Formats: sequence, structure tokens, C-alpha cells
Amino acid sequence: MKPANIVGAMVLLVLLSACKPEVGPPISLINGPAILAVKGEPAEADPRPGNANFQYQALAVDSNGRVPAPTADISSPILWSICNQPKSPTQSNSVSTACLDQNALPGVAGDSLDTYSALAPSDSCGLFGPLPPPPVGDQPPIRPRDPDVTGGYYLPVRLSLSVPEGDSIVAFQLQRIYCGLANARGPEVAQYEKEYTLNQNPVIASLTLQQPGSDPVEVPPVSAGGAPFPVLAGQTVSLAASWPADSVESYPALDVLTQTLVTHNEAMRVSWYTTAGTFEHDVTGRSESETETFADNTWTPGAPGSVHMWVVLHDSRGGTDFAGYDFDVTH
Amino acid sequence: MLSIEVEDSGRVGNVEVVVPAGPDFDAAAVAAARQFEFEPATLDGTPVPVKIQYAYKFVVKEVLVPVGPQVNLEGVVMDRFTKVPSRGVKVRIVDQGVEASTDQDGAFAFTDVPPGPHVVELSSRELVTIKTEEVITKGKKKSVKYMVEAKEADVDEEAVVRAPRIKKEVVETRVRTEEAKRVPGTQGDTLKVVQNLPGVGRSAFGSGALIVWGSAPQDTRVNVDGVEIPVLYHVGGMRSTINSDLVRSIDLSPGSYGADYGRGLGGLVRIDLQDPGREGVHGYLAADVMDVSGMVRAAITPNLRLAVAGRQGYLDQTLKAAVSKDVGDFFPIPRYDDYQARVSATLGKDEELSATFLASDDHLTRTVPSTDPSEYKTQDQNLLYRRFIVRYTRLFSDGSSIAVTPSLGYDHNQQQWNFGGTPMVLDTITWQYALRASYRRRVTDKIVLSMGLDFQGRSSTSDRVGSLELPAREGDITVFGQSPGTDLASDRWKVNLLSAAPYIFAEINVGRWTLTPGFRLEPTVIDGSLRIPHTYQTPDVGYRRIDLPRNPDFGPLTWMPNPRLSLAYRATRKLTFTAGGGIYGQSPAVEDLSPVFGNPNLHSSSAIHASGGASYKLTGTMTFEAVGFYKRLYDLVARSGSASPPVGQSLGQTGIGRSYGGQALLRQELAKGFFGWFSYSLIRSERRDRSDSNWRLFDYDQTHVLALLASYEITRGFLAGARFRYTTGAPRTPVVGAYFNATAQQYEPIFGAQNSIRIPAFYSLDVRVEKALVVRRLKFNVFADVQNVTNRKNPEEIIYSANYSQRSYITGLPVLAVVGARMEF
Repeated sequence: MKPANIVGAMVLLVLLSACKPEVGPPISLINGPAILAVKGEPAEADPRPGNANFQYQALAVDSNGRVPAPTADISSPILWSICNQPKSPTQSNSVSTACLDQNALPGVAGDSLDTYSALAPSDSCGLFGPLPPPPVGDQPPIRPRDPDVTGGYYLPVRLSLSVPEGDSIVAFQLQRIYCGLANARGPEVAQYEKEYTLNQNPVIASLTLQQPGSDPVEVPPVSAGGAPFPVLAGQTVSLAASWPADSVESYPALDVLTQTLVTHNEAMRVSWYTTAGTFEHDVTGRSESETETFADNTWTPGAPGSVHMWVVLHDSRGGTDFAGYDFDVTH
Repeated sequence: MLSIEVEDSGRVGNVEVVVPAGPDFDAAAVAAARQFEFEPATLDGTPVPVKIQYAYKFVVKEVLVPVGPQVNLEGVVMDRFTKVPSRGVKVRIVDQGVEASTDQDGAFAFTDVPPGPHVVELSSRELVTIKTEEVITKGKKKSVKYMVEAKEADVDEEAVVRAPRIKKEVVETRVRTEEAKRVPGTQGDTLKVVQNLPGVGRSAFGSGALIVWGSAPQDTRVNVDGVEIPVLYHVGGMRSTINSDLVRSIDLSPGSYGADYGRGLGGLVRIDLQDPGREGVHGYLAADVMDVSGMVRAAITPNLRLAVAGRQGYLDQTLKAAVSKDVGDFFPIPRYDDYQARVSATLGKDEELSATFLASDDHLTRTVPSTDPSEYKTQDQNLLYRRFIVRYTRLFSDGSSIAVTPSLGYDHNQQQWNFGGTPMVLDTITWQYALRASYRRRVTDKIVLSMGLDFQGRSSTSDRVGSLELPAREGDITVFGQSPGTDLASDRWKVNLLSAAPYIFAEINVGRWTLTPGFRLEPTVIDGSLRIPHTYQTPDVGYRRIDLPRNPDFGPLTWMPNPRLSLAYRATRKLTFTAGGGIYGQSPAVEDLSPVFGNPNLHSSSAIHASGGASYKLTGTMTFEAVGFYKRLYDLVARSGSASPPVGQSLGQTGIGRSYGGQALLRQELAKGFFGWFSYSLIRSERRDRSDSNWRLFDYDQTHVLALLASYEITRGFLAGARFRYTTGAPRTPVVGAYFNATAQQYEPIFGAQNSIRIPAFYSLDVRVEKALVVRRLKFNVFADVQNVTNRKNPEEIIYSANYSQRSYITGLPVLAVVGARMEF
């Protein structure tokens, strides 16, 4: 046997760059009618007694700002409906395709263009939760629904916004409902019922803007009635949306791997929307292990003019808050 | 002419050659002359000596005399591809009942074979048995040269006329290692050549799935020396899991295969490992941009041979340094390794024992960071298998043979994902223990009977956490990149599958016909730990039942053994027609027997295969084949269509399927440094998930699959080759609208008709050049394998804008040159 010596050459001769394609405008750019958020109050309730009444408020916007009433772009108020059709395991979306059927589920107008109140069906925990109705006759029992990682179950609420041309704009709010802890050992169930507190909506405390070389300045929300905040066209600014510390709630959830209760902190997400300019990120936030109470981003305004911006804050249990801001982009 | 002295007594005295006629003639003439007696010459009445001139005339007279045994049929037996003499081959003149064995030079000889035609049969434990006819002419010796080929595992003998054997499988493509290593685009990986064979669809980049005749990848079985392995390729499909230099041949049967194999609705890949070699110490070391590998094989004694091989991949690191990070996000490449060891021992004449160890590992760990907590992803994936295979074979003096192959295996498939805090875990550990035993015997001159037992036990433990939607199943309607469901379930269950499958088949040769009927009975005991989901209120209840693949639509014969049949008709020495079919069964997957995620009451799925075609031998090494096929699938596992499925019935067995089409192959086998083939497949594969749903295209359906490849040794040691591939894009479900999920802050798609659009077609031109140098006893190979030389941006997947109003494509790898070197000793 001859001693062996390896002669190997490893050359990657040509490898052009392959990249993730950028398709279409970012989700953060608003250039037409859209429903950006729905805030349910309370953020979570137990529907089983039959008196869980939720007040919903939608954030409906178009390129001219928040939609206070039917406009040239919006021909009628938002139609609301609660869909009681659970999705089948074959469907990858969050809601059943049956909930998209406008004929079967035409919806009703709310209290105003963007508000609606409704009782959650008392059988919501059976339809969408872990408490299916008992089997009838010799029929096999129905498979209970699975919770999300926070232990939540959700009732789909549909919003439909008609526009003069084209299809209606449809959005869903997945309203968190409390159905208890299913299929756990007795001690864990007892502990859960003792420690679990219903979710509450988080609150946007402030939006600050920092221009290069300047200190952060708080931007007044539209609801405060202030003048549009001046920014320079093309100048990238830093933004930070903050929330009070108590908006980040703790809650117990069953660890399905260990079948034990684990206390979690809510993760917080901030979705950024604007009618002009570009954000560095569409969504920023904090994971449950991060203790900061703000999420930052950068924004580069476009051409001079009036610009609307919305910030939507979500906690990981489905709680929501939103706020709008107006900017005056100048040279 | 002689000068003879005649003495006065009349006796002969001195004899001399005056005019020679050649040494032999002269000597013979002198010897004869010495025997003469003369009447003495006289002088005056007195005898006197005299010297006379005598012309001795030789008369050639044909006289038949017995001269003993005469060799009148001799020859050499050589391997058809390596041209190495084959030692120990039995050469038998059937009608005379005499036989001889080849010596170390592959030579044999017969004496006194009667004139006339004779059937000559060549057989050995390692070679395909062939029969041929030789005509002996009176008084003449005939010299012949037989080129034979090694047979695959578990196929002890087959009826063959000269080189092109009659294949037992109606549709089967065999590729020799010598050719496979030279196929462009495979980086010298023998087993990757399967992806270029007719009937095989192109797998998406990064999947490595085997899509055969419109079957799901998990329905095609891969066997190594008769033992099933879970995967042929490492994750990503860039490399096979078995070292090419251990492989003697690879056979692909896309369907209609014989009774000796089963447990799959799709195709069959059989890999035959080769003997480590009977002489010396040999091996290789090689490296390229993907991995480094090596092998050593040694004949410790002539009767004890050993081979060890290993490979370590690093393509993940190479790509990380060479391409943008996004590519890694879309097409994560795991780090892989594999290693093998094989010992072969000759126990006696025609008696062999081998032990083989196979191991393969894939590891992938990655993080996709995001400023959005819900988009932060981590992935930890480990896929490994081990196989220990013992194989005993013996060829008896009466021509019968046995093969016994016990094996033990261990598989671990672990996938852990975290999607923005929502976990997904799929962790299955399986112990596989199997025994394959076969016996083969010639019953009459026309019938060879084979029977055997194919036992396989699989003991699995599975843990699964996550959404019912993950991992996605064939038939799920979704789009690439869509966020997975946030629902969270968990289960831990155990399943034992014990399958003992006796089988029998006969090869009947009647004139030009070869008929191979067979039956396979495949009962399987399914033993599970959970009939219904685990609860804390009631104890767990398990189950045990016997499952049998049924014969669909066979009425009272539903539960009889699954029939298999193949027919071959040799119309001429060049033209052969074939037809075949059978019924095949497949036990439910362990992952589908979860009472939470699947259905513990699932039973076997079944398939009917039917195919027919013809092959025509254009030249000694060029063949054209055309085959049409039809497959019907029954009792396929599909998701429950109910919005509220009963407990333990998230999956149902309501699916049916069909695939049909044809394939053609024009193939030039390696001759004079050239080989290549043109293959084309036209396939349509459809599924219907439930009785109330419509037929739809199968997710992996590819209408047209075309491959054209060629390799040529331009000068000694310098090879060049090219490959062109074209395939129809896979079906996808179009997005016709979208709605906004205000809670998740993302759009979700509204789908159109399922699988009603396709990804654009794929085509690629690949080139390979290779230079071999021999320095003393070392052989060096340097190669460059350039894929996609035209730098076509082949769409691999459809991607949508955030609100699904626009779509584009993710493209596969651009031009990629893999350069490597290999040293053999």
C-alpha cells in the first residue's frame, strides 16, 4: 500500500448572489382604504355565562387619514359579524372560509362607523375552545380545540368595509375568550384558576421622535388635537413607541412539554403604518424575556406634504391599542 | 536422397543423407533405411559390399488414430463493465450435463464436445446467470468470450440471453457505478443519478425527495442489500447517504415490481453494495466544495475483505461564505456526515458472509432573527439512521441458492421549531429489526421457483408538539412563507409495526415468453399505546390489531395475498415486449397514528400498478425503451374535511389517487468512452381527498420531465460531459384575494381552485469536465462540475407581497461550479 496524500482543491468559481425577492410595497405603507386594527374591550372575557359583551373599535384608514365617516373611498360603514364557524384542520388560515361568505354572513352596521358591541355566544368555548358539546347518541365526541401558546382561544369577528370599486375590504379580529385550562392535572387546573387574570389591553404611552443631532421629542397623537409634527423630507428619524410597565402582564400557561404551569410575561409588538415614507421595519417589539417598555424604528419621510402615521400596539394575548399621528413633511 | 552402404551380408551399414528433406523427414528416412535388408550384391558370384543411392519417398496418408481427449470449446469469462476476468464461474453445457469452472484468468475449456448446437449456461453466486447457444463444428475448436455482469442483491438468478438480461421487473433502470460517477451535475455521486432516470420527477431545490411515477416521496422505498433505509439523500438532496464507492449498482423500479418487495405504494430503489475486493489495499481520498470523503478497502486474506468509508460535509459553511444570507433562510443546508464499514468473508466454495454498517447524520441549527417577536424563528433538526446488516449467501451444487439477511436499525428524526414563541416538535425514534430470507431453486428446465420471508419490525416512540397544520401534508392548501397555525397540541405515543411477509414467485420460460407470477402476503400487527388522546381523568388505552393490505375491487379475493405478475416476450433478439402489474400495500405512518394529530385506527393503503412497454436493442450497447403505466391508489390518508372532527380522527382514510403516463429512454451504455441517455416522462398524477371533493392535481405532479446527458472520454484520462434537464413546474394553489388578520397584524390569503396554477418550468444545463492522471500507483482525478451554466433564474417557489396583491418567484441557485479532486490508490 502506498501512503496516501490527499490533493483537494475546493473552489467556488462563480456563485452569483441569489436574494429574497421584494414583492410589492411593504405592509406598512397605506395607499388606500384599510382596516389596521380592532380593539376589543374587555380584551378577554369568559363567554360561558352568556353575558360577555365586547365593545369593538376599528382603526379604519385611507391615504387621507383615519376614516371618520363614509368618504369617496368608503361607500358605507363597516359591517360587523361574529362568525360561529370553526375552521377545519385542512385550512391553514386563522378562520374558516365559511366566515368569508358575505351572503351567509352579511354583517350589521355598528354603533358608529368604527364601533360595534356584541355578546359573545355562550357556546364559544364549545365552538372555538376546549369544551365541545357532549356527543349525541352513539356519535363520537368532538375533538376539543387547541389553545395557542398563551393558553388562549379566540372568537372570530369579521369586519367588512365596502369601497366603491373593487371587493370589500375584509378584516378579522380574533377576540380572546376565557375557557379555562383543559386536559391538565387537577393541581395545575386549580393553580391556573387561582393565578390567571384576564387579559387587559395595553396602552400606548407615547411616541417619541428623534432627529439626527437632537434629543427625542414626544409626538402628540391626533386624539390630542395638536398640529402636525414637522419633519424634514428625506431625513431619517428615530421613533420609539412606549408603553407603561403594567401593560406587560404576567400570566400562567401550561407548558405542553412538561405539563406544568409556567409564568410568562407578555411579548409586545408594535406595527407601524404611514401614508408616505418608509420604515426600517414594519413591525418591531419586545419578546417576553426583554424588559424594555418601548419598541423603536426609523422612518424616512418622502416628499413634502401631510403624512399620517399609525402605531398599533399588541400584547401576545391579543390585547390591542392604537394611536394616530400627523406629520408635516417639509424641505 | 540417401546414400546407403549395403554390407556383403545384405545388411545396411552406414546411411547418409545426400539430399536433405528436412530434419524430421531425414531422420525418419535414415531410421527406416537402417531397417532395410538387401539381397547382397555379387561380383563374379561373390557377395560384396556396395553403396547405393536411394530415394526415400514419403507418402502422406490420412489415417484416423485415437489420439486422446481434444479441447474443442474454450473461452474466457469477464465482467462486462470492468473487463476483469471472472473466477469461479460455472460454465455448464446443459444438454451434455458437463460443467467446468473458470480459473483465476477467467478461462475454461471443454473436451470432446459433440458437434452441433449446445446450450451453455454460466452461473455463479455473484453473477447473473446467462444462457447462450454455441455450435461446435466437427474437428474444429471454438474459442469464445463471455461478458457477464454482477447480479443485484437478493436476485440470485435470472433468465438471460447473452448480455441484455431479461429484467424481472417490467420497468427497471439499472445504472452501473462506472457510468453514474460521470454524470454531470451529480458531483460524482453515484446515487444522485437516480434523479435523472425516466419516471422520476425533479425534486425542489433543497428537498431531495424522490418523486416516482407521481407517487409521494414517502411512498417510495429504498433498500440497501435488501434492507430498508429511511432516506437516500442527505437533507437538501445534495449528497446521498451511502458512499458511492461501496455501491455496485443501483436499480430503480418506478412500479410494477416483483413479489419479493413491498410495503410501499410508489417505486423501489435497490442499492447493491459491492464486495470490498479480493486483492491488495485500495481506496481513495476526495474533497470538493461540499464535503471531504475517503475509503479504504483491503483483502486481509483472500477470504476476508474489509472496507471502511466516511464523509464529512461542510456545504453549509461554504454557502454561508459565498451567498447572501437570504438564500440560507430559504434553503437551509444541514451539516451532514455518513460512514460505512463492510466485511466480507468467504466461508467456503460458493458460500459468503458479509456484515455491513451504515450510518448517516444530518444536523441543522439556525436562527432567523427579526425585530418582530412573532417572526423570530429557530430551527433545530437532526436526522440520523444506522443499519447493521448481516448477509449470508450460498449457492448449492444443484444450482439452488439461499440468502439470509438479518439486520438491525435505528432511526431518529428530530425537528424542533420555534415560531415567535410557538413551538413545533416532531421527534420520532425507531428501532428497526428485520430478516429477509430467500430460497431459489430450478424446478425444471423452464421453471425457477423463488420463495422467501420478508420480516420487518419497527418499534417507534413519537413526541409531537405544535399545530395540527405542521408539518404540512400533501394536499394542504397554503402558500410559501405563510405563518403556521398558532394552535398548540401535544402527544406522545408508541407504535410497534410487525410485518411478516412471505412471498413466492416463479420464473417460467416458455419459448420466447418469460412469465413471472408471484404472490405476497403482508400481514402487519399494529400495536399502539393510545387509542384515544391521553387524559388525566382516565387511564390510557392501547390497541393491537392485524392489518392486511387489501386487493381493492377484487370482490371475494379482497383479502387474498397481493398478486404480482410480469410478462416478457422476446419477439426477436433485439425486440422485447414487457407487461406487468401488481397490488401493493403500505402500512400507516407512525406519525399519522397519533390520537391527537392523526388517527390510531388507520389501516394500510393500497395501490394497483399496471404497466407495459417494449425495449429495442439498436446496437450491442444502445437500447430504446418505452413504457406506459397506470397507478390507482386507495385508502390514502388525508386530513379530515370536517370543521369539527371527532376525537382521534384528525386524519381519515378517505383519499384516492391515480397517476398515469409514459416514459421513454434512449440509452447508450458505456462503450468506447461514451455513454449517455435521453429520457422523457409524461405523467399526470391526481388525488381526491374525500368523496365529496373534486379530483385535483397531486402536489408533486410534473407533466413533462426530460433529461439529456452524455459523457465522453475525449482523450485518455480526459472526460467531458453535459446534462440538460427540463421539468414542468409543480402545481400551486393561486391566491385570489386576502383579508387582514388584525390580531396577528398580517394578511391571510384567500385561495382559488386547488393546484390550478404552476410554478414556471425548470431547465438547466450542467457541464462536467474531469481529468485523470496516473502517477505510479496513484490515480488522481480533478473535476469541475458546473451546474446551471446559463445562469437561468429557475423559479423554485411562488412568493407573495404582504397583502397578496402581487406575486413573484424565489429562484434557485445560480451558476455554481463545484471543483474537487480525488486520489485513488
